[in-house]
Amino acid sequence: MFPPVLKQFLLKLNEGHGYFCLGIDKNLSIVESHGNPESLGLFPPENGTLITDYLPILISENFTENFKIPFFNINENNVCDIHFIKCENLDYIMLVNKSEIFQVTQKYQQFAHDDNISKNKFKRLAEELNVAKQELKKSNQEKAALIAMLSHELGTPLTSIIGYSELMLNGELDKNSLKVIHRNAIHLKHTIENTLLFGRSQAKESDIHLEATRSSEFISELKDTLYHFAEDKGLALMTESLADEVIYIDIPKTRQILINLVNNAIKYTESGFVKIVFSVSNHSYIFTIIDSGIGIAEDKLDTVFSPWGRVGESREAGSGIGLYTSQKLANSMSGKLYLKSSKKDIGSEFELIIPINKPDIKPLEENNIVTQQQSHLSVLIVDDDEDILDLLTFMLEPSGFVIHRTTTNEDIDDILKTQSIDVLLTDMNLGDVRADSFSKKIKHSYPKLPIILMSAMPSAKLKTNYKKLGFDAIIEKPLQRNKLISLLSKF
Amino acid sequence: MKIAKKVCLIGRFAVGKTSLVRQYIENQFSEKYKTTVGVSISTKVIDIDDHSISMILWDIAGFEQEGHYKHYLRGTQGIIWVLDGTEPESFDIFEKVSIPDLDSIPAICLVNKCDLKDQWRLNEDSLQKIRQYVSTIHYSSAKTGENVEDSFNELAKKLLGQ
Repeated sequence: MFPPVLKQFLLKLNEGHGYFCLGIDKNLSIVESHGNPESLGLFPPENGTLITDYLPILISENFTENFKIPFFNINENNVCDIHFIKCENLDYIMLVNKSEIFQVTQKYQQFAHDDNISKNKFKRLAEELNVAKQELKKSNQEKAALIAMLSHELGTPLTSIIGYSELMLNGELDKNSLKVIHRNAIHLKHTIENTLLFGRSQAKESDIHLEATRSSEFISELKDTLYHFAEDKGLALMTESLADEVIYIDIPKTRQILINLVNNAIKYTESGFVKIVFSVSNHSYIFTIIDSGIGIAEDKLDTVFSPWGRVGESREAGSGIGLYTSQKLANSMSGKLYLKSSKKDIGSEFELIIPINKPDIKPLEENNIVTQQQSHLSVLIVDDDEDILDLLTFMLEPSGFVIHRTTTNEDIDDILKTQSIDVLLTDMNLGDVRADSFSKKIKHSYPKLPIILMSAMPSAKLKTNYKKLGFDAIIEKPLQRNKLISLLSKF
Repeated sequence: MKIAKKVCLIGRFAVGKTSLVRQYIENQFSEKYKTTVGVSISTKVIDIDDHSISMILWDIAGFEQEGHYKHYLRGTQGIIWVLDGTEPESFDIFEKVSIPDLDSIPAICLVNKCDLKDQWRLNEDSLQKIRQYVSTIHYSSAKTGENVEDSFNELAKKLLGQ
């Protein structure tokens, strides 16, 4: 007989759903049942079965007070609320069918969750778009700032070069004005090199190409490059080598970092000195640049390596990418560039540390110094710029080279057929044609003819690619006479 | 000796609780998301040394409403916190569920969907916050099965006091 207390309970629920009720004794054994278990997807229990064996969901209940477990998913189609009701003689487990309500609730909840998931996806996409937009905006601002800075940086030395060369053309200045022109041209070169390296660091295109060089020669060459800038300001440019040995470094990158550091030191030093110190520790090459300049204010120390973070108070110009680019270059060599110390009106000390990494490369030939012997090599120069052809002719003819020249690739084959050519020297861009479009063909027809490519600051990756395309050597622009003669003389 | 233990999976909706249980019990995964309403129960028996432990897994709906969990967490003997590594809002579940005597209940945390590496949003700050509530944290994937069985079994050992 269905206990009156349960009737009252069902009336209280006032839902009119199907139910299945189990009476259990104090030992949790099922002693009676009411209703239809099949309507809930359950089989009828045998009297005496433990309620926790029949319904394992109840396994951790202590059955000391009434409880409810809503929306118990018996299986895919049947859902019920479980009620435990304590009574005087027996206790009862009441399973109230909630399958219909479940279906509706599930539908609404599914819709709400799907909607929420879609919203979150859109929200995340919007956030990512916003970040990309901010990065793009920042990048555009940096590019605009770079262009503005470059206009100034390129314009200043160009003004000197044009002005002095015009005065020279009118015969109003002596040969000393050439020094000014040369110095400003070197300044332009450094600015362009920094800009190229900055672009590569932004594009994350950086690789290492280790070469052997004697440290004293490397430092000496650096000093020669920068000596005039210091001299112009009445500063002493000093060097100190605590070691002199063959070192293995990425020469262009290391040189560029040190040029930037020394240039900066000269810019921000009004009197006294700039000093380059080289030493070797157990695992590293150490270059230290010390100056007696204006120093860096404490509140600017954090931004010293940020792009556009120019910190000095000197009147000197600067594009603000030198230190940023230098640090990127140092990192790309697994090295470290940092500001060791700086005191206002006393000076600054930057240190570049490059880990020693001796690669499997040809040892440095001690006599690998440019020899200015007379050469009788016949060189075919290909460049679409007549001025460059003139310049190269002026550079090479006095050393005995026999020069053949053309501004177009179309003449190359005729010249090679009619003249005895020992080396082909070509620029990459020849009007609408690139040298790598015909290099393989020439190499195929004239396999013994060395082809040298003139290229502006090619990366190590590009150099490797060029060699695959038939070029035997690459010489960097702007060309230096000694280096060019030395390279040609190898063939 | 056979021991039965109630283990509740707790986490925000769509973090993958049902999928983790399905992967653990049936080695299966479905891309289709079907939200859970109420609670589903699954059982897995594991033998650890001389013991046979029956894990009664309570897959509780990730429905965030005051008092929602109180009917289900009563008497739980183990907890599996489930987070979605690609969804930072799911990391806040600890603050939304209150469990009496939480410290005394063996628990692990699964940061799920570790197969979605490009969408991963869990960082060290979030991890530190999570560690305030649970010390055992694993990255899991209900899709690939990575760290699922091992993690559930690890909790089983904790339940045995090992």
